[in-house]
Amino acid sequence: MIRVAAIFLLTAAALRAQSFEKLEVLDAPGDAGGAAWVIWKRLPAESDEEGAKRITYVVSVAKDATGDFEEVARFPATAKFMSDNTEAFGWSKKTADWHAVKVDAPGYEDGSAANFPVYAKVVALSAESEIASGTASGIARPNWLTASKFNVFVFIALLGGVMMFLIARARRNSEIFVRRIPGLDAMEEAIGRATEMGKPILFLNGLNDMSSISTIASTAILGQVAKRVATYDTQILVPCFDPVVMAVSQEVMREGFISAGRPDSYRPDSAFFVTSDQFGYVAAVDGIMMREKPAACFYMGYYYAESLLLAETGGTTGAIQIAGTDSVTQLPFFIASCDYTLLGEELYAASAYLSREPIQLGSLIAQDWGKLFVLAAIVIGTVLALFHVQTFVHMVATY
Amino acid sequence: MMAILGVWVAVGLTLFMFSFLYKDNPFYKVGENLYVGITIGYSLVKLIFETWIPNVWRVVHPEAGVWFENHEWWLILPPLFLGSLILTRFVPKYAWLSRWTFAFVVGYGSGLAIPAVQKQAEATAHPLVTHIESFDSADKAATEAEKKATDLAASKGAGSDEAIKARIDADEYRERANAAKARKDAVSAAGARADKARAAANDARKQADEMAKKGPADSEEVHAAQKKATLAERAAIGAEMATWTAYSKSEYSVLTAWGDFTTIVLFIGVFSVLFYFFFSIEHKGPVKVFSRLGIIFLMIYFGASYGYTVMGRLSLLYGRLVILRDACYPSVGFATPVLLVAMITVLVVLHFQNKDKEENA
Amino acid sequence: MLHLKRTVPLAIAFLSGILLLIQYFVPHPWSAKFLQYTSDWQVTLAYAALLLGVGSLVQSHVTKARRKAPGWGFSAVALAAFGITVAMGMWWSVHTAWQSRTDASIVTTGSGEGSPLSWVYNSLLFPMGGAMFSILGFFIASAAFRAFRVKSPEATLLLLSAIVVMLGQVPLGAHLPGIPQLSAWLLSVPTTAAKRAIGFGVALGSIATALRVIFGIERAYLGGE
Repeated sequence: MIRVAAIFLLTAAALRAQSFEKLEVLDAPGDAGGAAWVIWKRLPAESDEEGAKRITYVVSVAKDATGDFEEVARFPATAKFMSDNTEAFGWSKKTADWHAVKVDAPGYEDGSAANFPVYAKVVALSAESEIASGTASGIARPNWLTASKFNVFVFIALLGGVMMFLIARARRNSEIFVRRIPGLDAMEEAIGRATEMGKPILFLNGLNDMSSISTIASTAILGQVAKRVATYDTQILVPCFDPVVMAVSQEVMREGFISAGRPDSYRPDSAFFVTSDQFGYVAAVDGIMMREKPAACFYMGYYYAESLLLAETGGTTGAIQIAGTDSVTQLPFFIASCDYTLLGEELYAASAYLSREPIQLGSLIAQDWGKLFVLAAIVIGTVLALFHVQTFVHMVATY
Repeated sequence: MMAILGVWVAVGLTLFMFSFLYKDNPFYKVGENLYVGITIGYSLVKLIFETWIPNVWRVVHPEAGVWFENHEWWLILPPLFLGSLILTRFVPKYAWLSRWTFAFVVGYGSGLAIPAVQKQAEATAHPLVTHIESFDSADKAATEAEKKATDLAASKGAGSDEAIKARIDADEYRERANAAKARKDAVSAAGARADKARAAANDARKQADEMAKKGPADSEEVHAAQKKATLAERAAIGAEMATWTAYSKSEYSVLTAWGDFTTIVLFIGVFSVLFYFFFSIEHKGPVKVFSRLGIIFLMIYFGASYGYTVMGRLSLLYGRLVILRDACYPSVGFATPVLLVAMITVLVVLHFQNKDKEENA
Repeated sequence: MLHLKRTVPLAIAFLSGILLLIQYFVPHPWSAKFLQYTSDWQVTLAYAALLLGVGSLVQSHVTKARRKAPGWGFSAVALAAFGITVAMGMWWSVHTAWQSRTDASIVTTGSGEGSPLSWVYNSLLFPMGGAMFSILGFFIASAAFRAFRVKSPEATLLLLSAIVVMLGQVPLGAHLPGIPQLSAWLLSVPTTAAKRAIGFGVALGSIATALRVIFGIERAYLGGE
């Protein structure tokens, strides 16, 4: 009891004798403006936990030095350090010695692009004394660049660069090896079978709109399928979930028929809009499957819970089924009910694979380089993490 | 009256849709076309009255023009222009103009996708190198760090740089231990909740059975009790599932002794599956062995994720069947049995008619 | 002409793609505004596109009904359902707009609370959607059965892991020794590994595809000349 009281008195006395060192107001880096950081070095009285627990900080801000200071934060000295905010201050261990509080500039309106001055004061309170800092000031301004996303930029630039390089190389030397993808080889076979049986092919573009990468990939595959369909003179049905996807499908198929030299066999109404309601679409497509009994069903693009409703119905009609989706949650259902399934990125690779154009294949190899990079990153990161070195993890962290 | 009509419509449409499991038939076709027609009409009404009029008309109409005041009225022009380009598809000669809009949509999606997936990739990469910590080991580490901090404070003085650093470290360890403890507590709390839910479900079922034994079996009260019991049972299953989810997020009791084993499996798994996806390497020799390993991981994943979904899907079906069952009683005019018998009769008649036609042909 | 059909759309795709990409790296409020506006445009565009869809649908059903093609009666059902829904929605919207008319603005809700369309949604669309969705309960069993008939080592592995996890989810499984633990382990270790690897591939693939679109290498979506 006496010991506790003694520590208490000591801390109180210590706080009285102390003063703030280096109080600063900094513009919050890499933000849309209107925010600033108030930072100051931890007081010596915080050096042990008991001492830190007894101190409460009160931060107040104002528009100008003489204005009304308004309290914006009140917290114990055991919280709010610069090191908690790596996106602003980085990962240096030194930042653990500083307190940091993010404040809104007084008078700031959301979306404003102006600069706002921020004046700040900090008071440290303990049970029997308090000390106040002087006033510090800074300007909260909107920023054009952010350092915290630099690693993302580097990665994208690298990947883009590698891609351009490989495409340029592919232009010179068209011998590019790409391993077999059985699902894509089976497509040709399925189209042939449909021709023999005199039955149509059903091609779905998934349930996302045209701005989704999965849909962009699936319409590109449709172009390749349409070319073969035109050559074999088979019928193709493309019920669409989205009207824009329908229109793009029509364009893509028309081009496919033209490049196969049979523009007059192309029927624009083979790609048609059904409805943009998830289960309404399923009801209609399932109905089409039961009535038309397609010889082959291709499910490309992004799917949700309806994946199994479509693929199981297709399965009962006896069609050859090939799915390709990057919807990780739906892959198991396609795997269970389809003959072939393109897994994840194989969907994006499909049109390049089918087209066999060196430029397209070249960009495919860039993806391999990307994977190699990721593998290396995992190895380095994991090995370093085993030795409790976090530097690498910090380097790849995104905000 | 409206309520009973509502029940009949809902039961009828549910049966129409289910009839598709038998085969394609007129009931399903009616349901299907009704569904398509209504959904499109519904979206069109929403388009006109909830998007176009508020967004376009209010800008064009000067009195109501909120945007005019903000000098941002012209911002409606690009989408109006691009939107009307889409409509050129109705005029084949100028249909190619719609490509401008498609290009905008596709470019927009691509530009937006790059940072989005990048972020997602980082989120999945991160935990690989910071595997889940069990409370025991985290607590041990934290206690050690705290001791070190106290020792340093005693030997070098509480204000010394080393002591401060050591205490910051100790705080960090303690925070991690607290997080691990929260995970552990979540498991026991979820377990307790599951036990409670299961006991409640058993009670409710027992009560319902007893009521059914005592009184008339299809009275309103008995149905209410049965419904309550069913709901309680579903809640119990849900709570039990939640326990396992919490468990899988905390630590693995079988593997606590070799938690590193988990990391190694994870490591090999990610490695081999990524390897499987390489396009420029032929799957031959040692590569084949490794990519086979990737396939094994993939298959376990597909199976596990399939198995994980089964119960959810079955309970969905169960929910629908409960609705059909609840419409079996006189209070709603025996909607389910009447509609079911009527539909079966029609389907049987149609079956024989078609058979006759086939034979005549 | 070729410029208008090819070069202009490629330039539009490049510009919109690159601007949206740059936008991610720029924290300035103008950048946020730009994102806000362009995503608003997407909504407006999606609805303009719906007109195209409605046109396509009505056209195909009308053709069927007029030609009296087999099953044309069902096309009539679709058209009637569409027509009645639109008529009800319009009537209600005009009705509410008239009631809430003020000097400055008209408030219209096609499908708000108490409207005929909200009744349509609750009594028709909801049960039909629920029924379709619940058919998954049958299919999840039938698909598993079909997968089981394929007697390959992969299919067996898939099925075993599915059974273990399924048992881990049900009360019965809790009484089998080791099953809940194994199930939890399968779900959190090998599953996580596979999911992450697929996730990486998908992320890289979509970045690569997006870059291909932005730089005009992937241009299939534009069709031909």
